Amino acid sequence: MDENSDLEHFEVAQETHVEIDLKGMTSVNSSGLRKWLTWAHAIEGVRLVTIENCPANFLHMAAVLKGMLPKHFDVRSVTLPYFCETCENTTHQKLEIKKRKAPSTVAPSLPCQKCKSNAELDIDPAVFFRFLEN
Amino acid sequence: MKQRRRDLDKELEFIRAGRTAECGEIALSQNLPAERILELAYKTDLRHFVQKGSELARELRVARVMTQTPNTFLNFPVSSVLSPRKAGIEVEKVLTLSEWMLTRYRDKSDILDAIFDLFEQARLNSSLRDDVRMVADEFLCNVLFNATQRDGLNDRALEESVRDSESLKDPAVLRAGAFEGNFVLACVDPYGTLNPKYFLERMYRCVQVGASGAMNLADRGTAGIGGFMIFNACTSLYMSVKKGERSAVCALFPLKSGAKARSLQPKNIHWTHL
Repeated sequence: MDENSDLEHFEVAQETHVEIDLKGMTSVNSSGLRKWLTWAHAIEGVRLVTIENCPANFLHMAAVLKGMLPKHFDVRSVTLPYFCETCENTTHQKLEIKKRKAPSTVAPSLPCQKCKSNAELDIDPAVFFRFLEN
Repeated sequence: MKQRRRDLDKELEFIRAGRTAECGEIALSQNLPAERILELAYKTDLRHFVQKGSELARELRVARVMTQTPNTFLNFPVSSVLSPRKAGIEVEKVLTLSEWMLTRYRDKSDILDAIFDLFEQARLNSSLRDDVRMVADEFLCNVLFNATQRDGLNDRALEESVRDSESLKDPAVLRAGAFEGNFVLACVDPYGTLNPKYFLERMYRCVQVGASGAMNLADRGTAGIGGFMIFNACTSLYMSVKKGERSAVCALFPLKSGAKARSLQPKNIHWTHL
């Protein structure tokens, strides 16, 4: 998501429910974020915007920068990173979010996709899930 | 706005950055949160905030290079940050993994792809790759859209700023380097329009009012979102400016840690404006 993201041409203002799948979004810069913010607030008429496969780098920013996810935006699933200290690879795992509440448990580790060693959850859940409060 | 010195004594210690009083002071602290460091950098006249920890000695030396030999920092930022005792042309060549020239807007995506390739080929930490790429993107955007404008302030709309034909009168340089467990990204432009104090103020405001609030308040120039994204991703931020001649901005990252461990590292800020 960057200065070339063409969000303003998604004409969804007349819809009541919009679904966004962010799978494959690899990076976000501040110009892209500005475009996202402008667009998100321009479609306030849409009753519900659901987001699937929201990447961790986007949610890290949403946790500290208020306003990135307006109240009518509902993150339904996130992609959590697991870091392997052995081969320094990151493995990603999808996690469902139910009823806009932080999950009571998150798997602390899983096998690394590359070397099968133990890859540990690479976020602090106490900080990460703050995006649900904003 | 200025905080009184006796209030600061509770959380900071002060040591001289050089032999003379003109060199200023380095503020030492222990485990101050990132937001507090940013607030202090914005609200005080202090220019070097160093947190105690494993990188203390190197950070103090970088502060001294920036204050005592500022041209060394502006010309050899990679070695000044990674190996400040030996900063100079020879060590700069040894510690630089890659160097890219930015001459026009279209170079940006090629450079970002090259950073991705660098991490793949050198088998560097994949968790760090995305943060470094994002910081590089912000550095290059700042050069393209802000550094070339009067006083570094860009009052053009985003749509006006992004033009394929956007070219720089003089090229900027982005370097990546690594040494002793640290990775640095250094961006040097030949404009010298960066105003570190303004940059810090916008970043702090962005944290205070949120991204959309900062955008609404940004009648002119940056909203501080990009600056905050850089500060949030790295452990140390260095800005040195020779007005009208050159700006050098560097971001330091621990090479081996995952994102969670990096976010727990105390943050340092340094800036000089000649």
